[in-house]
Amino acid sequence: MLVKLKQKLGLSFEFMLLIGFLITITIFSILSFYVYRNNQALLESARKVAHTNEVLLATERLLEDLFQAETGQRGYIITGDSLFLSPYNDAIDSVNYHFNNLKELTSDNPELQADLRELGPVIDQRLQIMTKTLEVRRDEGFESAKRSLQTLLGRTLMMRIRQVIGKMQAAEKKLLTNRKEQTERDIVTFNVAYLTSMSITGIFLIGLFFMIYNNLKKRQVLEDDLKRNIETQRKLSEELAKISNKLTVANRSGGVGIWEWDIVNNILIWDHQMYQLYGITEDSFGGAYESWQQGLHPDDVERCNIEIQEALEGKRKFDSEFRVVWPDSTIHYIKGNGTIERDEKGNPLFMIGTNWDITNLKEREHEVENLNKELESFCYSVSHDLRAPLRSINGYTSALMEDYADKFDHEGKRLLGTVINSAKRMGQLIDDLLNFSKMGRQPLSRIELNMDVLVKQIASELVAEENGRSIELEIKPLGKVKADASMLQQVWVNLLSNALKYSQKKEKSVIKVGRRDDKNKGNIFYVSDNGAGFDMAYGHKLFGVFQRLHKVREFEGTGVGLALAKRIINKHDGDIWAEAEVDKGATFYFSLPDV
Amino acid sequence: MVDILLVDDSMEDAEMAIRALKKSNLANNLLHLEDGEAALNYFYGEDKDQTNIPKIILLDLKMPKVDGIEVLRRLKGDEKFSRIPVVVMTSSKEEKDIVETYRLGVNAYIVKPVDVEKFIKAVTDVGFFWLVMNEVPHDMR
Repeated sequence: MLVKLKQKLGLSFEFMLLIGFLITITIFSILSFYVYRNNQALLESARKVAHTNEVLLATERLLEDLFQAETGQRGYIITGDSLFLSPYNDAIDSVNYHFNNLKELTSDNPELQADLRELGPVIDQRLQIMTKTLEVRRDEGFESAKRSLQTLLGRTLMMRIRQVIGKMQAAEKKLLTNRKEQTERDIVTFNVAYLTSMSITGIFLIGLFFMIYNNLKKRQVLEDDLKRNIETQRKLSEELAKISNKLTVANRSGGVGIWEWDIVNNILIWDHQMYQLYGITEDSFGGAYESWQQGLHPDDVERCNIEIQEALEGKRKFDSEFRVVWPDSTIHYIKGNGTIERDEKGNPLFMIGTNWDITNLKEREHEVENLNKELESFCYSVSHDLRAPLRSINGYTSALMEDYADKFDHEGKRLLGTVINSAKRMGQLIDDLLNFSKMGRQPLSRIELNMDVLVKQIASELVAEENGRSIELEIKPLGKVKADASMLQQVWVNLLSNALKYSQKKEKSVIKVGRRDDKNKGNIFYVSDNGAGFDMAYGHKLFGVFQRLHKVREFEGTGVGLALAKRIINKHDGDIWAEAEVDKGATFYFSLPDV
Repeated sequence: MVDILLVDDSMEDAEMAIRALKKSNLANNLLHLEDGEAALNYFYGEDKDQTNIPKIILLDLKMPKVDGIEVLRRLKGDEKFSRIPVVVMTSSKEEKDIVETYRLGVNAYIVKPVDVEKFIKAVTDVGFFWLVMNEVPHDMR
């Protein structure tokens, strides 16, 4: 009930509790006052009943006294013995006492006072008659007294007294009855009122109890929630602390420094690691953009400024490498990157990023560069020095055949021819090997490449060289890719010339070129032929350098072409593979993932 | 009178070249020098003969002491000799050599093939082109 009211009025629990208790306390106060009043009334009523009883008792005594006086008087009159006068005298004293007492008791009751005023003289008269009779007995003897008694006046007076007192007693008894009835009514009324208020208070208290109970229950639930939340929070904080520790350890072991630049106020904040990267102490750092610039190698300052500027303008992300000059003049290579936080309008506010030392990496790069240079010069001398003697072998053998042709018989000429062919073949091997190693070092330069144009041109050139052969060439649409033009040209030349070469012994060569797209591998191109094919069991050897699956006598070749194609395709992050069956032909596939 | 100046440290290669040119009757006034130093001496040495300027120089690149690049640089940088056609003949297919020689102003570049027939054809073609076909500026005759 209270809860509903509370919800209806939207009052707070505390307010409802206060109101509830105020109402209860008020009811209790009123009830207490009422109980007090009632008790007072009951007390009063009891006192009045006692008073009435006292009045009744006093009238009884008065009457008793009068009877006792009569009895004493009668005894004396009959015996003349003054012994009977003692109770008579006592009674006379007592009558006065009790009459006065009665007068006092009924002082608040005018009716009874009126009765007493009537009764007073009658009692006096009766007592005078008694005294007179007693004097007659004492002075004139029994007979005179007997006569005076016979006047009946005393008897009449006595009746009158009894009448008045009876009336008084009746009035008083009636009053008593009335009072008792009033008291009983009061008690009933009080009981009803008392029980009613107690019930109301009880209901109020029950209501309050439930209100408090519900509230406590809710609080308990909230408290449990809160405890759980606190526990979760605590665990999260611990987790966070752990992660933070790990990050710190990782940053430290990885040598990663973290920086934050307040662009608006030009305040640059570095973490501990940053100072180590720049070889300076915290005191010598100015804490602004310019302070960072001061640490840079003079040749890198302008480029870095441009890169930062472009990052701020949103042209590109800041991801740079630069040199840092330590106070001891040593040069350290740093890789730095950062992201920018902007306001709603896109104005840069903060830039946060990392720095780490890549000096070792750079040294390795230089090493690799040097090694590459060494390799290059090695290749240079190979191409120059190995080819020169071959040329001589070839040239002098040719000269021998020309100048001394008449001195050699058929077998002699065949032997000389073999020497020339072997020398040529070795020259081809050296050329292919150089080409292969050069391709590995050459950087990719991707351009948008129209494969249709490229393949058609290559195919028509290659087919033109094959005089007198029956060739069916089918080229499906190949579309465009982003790739290195000269490298891709090499791949197509190798694959197409292979297809032509290995199908040369068929009556009619059927070569198909096409493209299909694959979800995982991107764009897949293929070249298929109906030529000699190969045993798939040796398929894994296909793309190795100098690996051949056919004899030179059957098909010419150095075994470098497919290895070179694989190298090129792998450089483009693609794959190359083949499917074949002996004497049924082969299909070569290569994939070029989208860039 | 020197029509063709052949500079090559390889006697075998030189012989092949001479043989090829002889076949086409182009080697009548041919002088063979064996290295770059000799070539420079021919133009700048004490016993130089300024009147005997060759009509064409066939120059090998990789030679001891002074290499072909150096000879090329000197000649092409010298107003007196810069107009003599120089044909570089080398075993090397290295791109940097090709780029460098063209930068220095070479007139032709022949990679010496292992296949002697191709070599003979290339040398003969070059000889014909520069000695027979090409109109050499008047003051160089």
